[in-house]
Formats: sequence, structure tokens, C-alpha cells
Amino acid sequence: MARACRQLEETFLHAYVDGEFSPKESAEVKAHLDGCADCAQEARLHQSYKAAMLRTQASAPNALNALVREQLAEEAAQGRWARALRDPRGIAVAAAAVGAAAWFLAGGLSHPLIGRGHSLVEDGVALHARALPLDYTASDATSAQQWLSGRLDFGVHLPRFARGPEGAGPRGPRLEGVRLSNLHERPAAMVTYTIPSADGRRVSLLIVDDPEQRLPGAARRIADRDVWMSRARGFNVASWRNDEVVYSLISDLDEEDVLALVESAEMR
Amino acid sequence: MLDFKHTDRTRREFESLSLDHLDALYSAGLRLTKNERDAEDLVQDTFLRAFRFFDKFERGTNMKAWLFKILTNTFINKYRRRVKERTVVEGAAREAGNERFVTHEPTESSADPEQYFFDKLLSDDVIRSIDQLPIDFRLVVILADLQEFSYKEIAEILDCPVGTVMSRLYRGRKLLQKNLLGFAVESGVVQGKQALELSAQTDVEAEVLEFKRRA
Repeated sequence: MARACRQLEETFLHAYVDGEFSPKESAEVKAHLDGCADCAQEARLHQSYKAAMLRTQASAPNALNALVREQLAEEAAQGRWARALRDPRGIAVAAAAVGAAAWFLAGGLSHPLIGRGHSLVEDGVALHARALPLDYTASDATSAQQWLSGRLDFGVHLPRFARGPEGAGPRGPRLEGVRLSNLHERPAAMVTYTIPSADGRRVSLLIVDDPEQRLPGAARRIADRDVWMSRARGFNVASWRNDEVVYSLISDLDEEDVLALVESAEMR
Repeated sequence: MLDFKHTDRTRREFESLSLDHLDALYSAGLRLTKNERDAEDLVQDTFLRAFRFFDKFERGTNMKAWLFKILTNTFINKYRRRVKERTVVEGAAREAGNERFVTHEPTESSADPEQYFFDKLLSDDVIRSIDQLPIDFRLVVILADLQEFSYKEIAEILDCPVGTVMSRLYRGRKLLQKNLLGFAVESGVVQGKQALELSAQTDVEAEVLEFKRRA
């Protein structure tokens, strides 16, 4: 601070540089700065500080804009039902509209259409169905695993899919990339594969750290693993645990093909 | 009544008013939460909440300030605890992630160290200095110096008097500049001798202690 100058306080100069003064006030400060080297120096120093701060601005990841729009669309859709249920006339209209009055009213206000009635896997299936853009593209499991390990607070092992024998289901899923996500306020990773031998169909591997979760469906023993098979929204889901982390393979492949894939998956 | 057309129109209006501020909200969220994933969560939560309360937004008033009020409230209510829990693991990941913000290489020391001190800083050091600020200071510094809100707007966003904004901003900036000086010496951007001269100007430890005592 300009020790020689007692006319302007440092806070006052900062407020001037911050643009807090009216044009008339600013003109008065400027007139003083023109004749006072110490205060002018202080003002320049504050300007350069502000410029340095502005240089740290970051821009949002590209995927975030799309994700926010998705969520708003979902919220708008859910909001219709929530509003309808808050308004008794709305209930009648809504129920008549879907032609299922009894079913709807039996659900009452705790109906699964409101709030988070969905299971983690169902939400994972919804994510798979949307095919959102990837955060990181990679064709080899090692680099994808490395990328994920810096961004998740739990250990992830991307499976290596062995090439199965000729004619035995889809062979060699091709890794496309990964995307970070959040399911039920838990960090999650969605790994996307395509299957060249099945017309490039898309397969997602959902990875969530969720030791409490009850896996959906029926358990089977495949390749020394307990694998739970279930269906949601027309997709087949195979889930298993590895080091307390849940892996769910989601696709519209036949159950047989899904099992073949799971069997060939090697967790390192 | 179910009014589907109305809902879609409302959503489109909300999107057209709010999505322009996505980068600003993310940028501020990143310095509040100090990591990319929490920042994305915070921004998503902010948009959802804002949309739910959109009927409370007075058309024609300051949308950016309104969104930032929701962002800061959401952060204070929900994320502060979570962020504290995670600070242990975040270090290594952040070191790698911040490289792209580095905009200035260290340069030769100039004849006039004061004037150019901030010009030749590494953005990485600036970010570390922001992140080290206690939350009350960090909030006002982010709002004033990263988002360029006016003192009055910040007072409205944080629900506190303008005088409080000004004193926190002044002390926050001084504390930040003191941290920055330390990092700049560490990374060789300024020499030890210059640092001594500069530190005389940024000696605020006593002031910060005084502020904490009164707070």
C-alpha cells in the first residue's frame, strides 16, 4: 500500500478497481491517481491480481450440458404426476387419462412414479438406453482403467474379455470408452462396448461401489462367480461383485450371449 | 390439472435463461468443491432445484445471481461435509487434473517486481491459493473475482450485509495473496528476496486472527 499517501484507503482503491463507484466518483478517484504514483501503483497491482484470478476460469465438460437437459426433461415429466397428485382434481384426470384409477390410487402418494422408487440397476439400464456421450474414449482396458482410477474413490477392474470359441456367442467386445455418472448419489462408471460380431450392438458395464446393495434377479454360478440375471425395460442385466464393487453388464443381447460374455470376462 | 404443453414451455423458458450460466456455475462449483465430480454433481443439483423453484423466480431480475444463490446454498447444506470427508484422497488426482489451467510459464524476474508479480503467476498456484482459503473467504472471493459480481449482488446471494462482504473480501484477498506468495517462491516464479519485499504488503495474519476471534 502506498504509505506516502494517506488520502485513499486501500479498500477504497479496491472498490474503485472493482467497478463499485458511480462514473462521477470514479472520475474523482482517477484524477487523484493521475497525480499520485503510489496509489496508481496500488490500483495496477489490484488489476493484475484480478486478471490472474480470471485466468483460472474453467469451462464445464461437454457432457454436462446434455446431462442437465436430460435431468430437466425427466424432472418435468415426473413433475406432471407430482403436481397432479397434489391436486385432487388432477388425480381424477390423471387416473382417467391412463385408465387405471384403482391401480393409481392404491399406490397413493408413495407411488413409485414419484421420487426414487427405482432400483440402482433399473437406473443403470435407463442410462444405457440413453447412450450418453463418453467422457473418455479408449480402446484398451488398461488406459480406461487408469483414467477411471484417478476419478473414482474405489478400485475398479475392467474385465478382459477372452475370445470365445468359434460360433459360441458374441466374440471380442470392443471397448469404446467410459463415462462417469452418479446413481442414487453414488459415483458410478459406465463402460461402453460394441460387439462387432453382433452388428456392433452396444453393451454397457455399470460399475458402482455399493456393498449394501441387494442384487436383482436370480443367482447363478458362472466361472467361479455368483452372477445375478435380471431383466429391466427390455434389457438383460447380469450383475456380479468383485472386491465389494458391483459390476452390471447391460445389453439387449440374448440371455445365452450375455452368459457367454460374463463367462469370458476375466477380472484382473 | 395436467397441462403438458405448459410444462414443456416452462422447461424451454428455464433452459434458455439458465443454461448460458453453466460454465460459470461449474467454474465456481469446482473451486467450492475442489474436485470435478463433486462440481458436476453440485451443478446438476443446482439446475434441478432452480427448475423446481422456477415459479418463485421473478421474471426480468438477475438470473445469474439467483442461480448462484441456489448454488451456494446447495453447497453449504449438502456438499461441505462430503468434501471434507474426501480431502484425503483427492490430492493426487487433482495434481494431474489441473495441468490444463496452467497458462503462464515462469519468466525472468522483472525490474518492477510488484507490478508484474500477478502477471507471471502460474494459474495452478492461484488455484491452490483459492482452495486453501477458509470457506467464508473463499465464497466471497469466488463470487467477486472469478464471477465479477458486485458487492451488492454478493450480499444478496449470501444473505449478509454489504459491509460484511467488503471486509471478508478484503481479508480473503490478502490471505490468498499471502498463500500465493508462498507457492510462487516454491515454484520459482519469484525469488526469495522479492518475496520478502512483497510479504510486507500482504501481512494479514493478525487481521485474519482478529476476524476469526470476532466471528
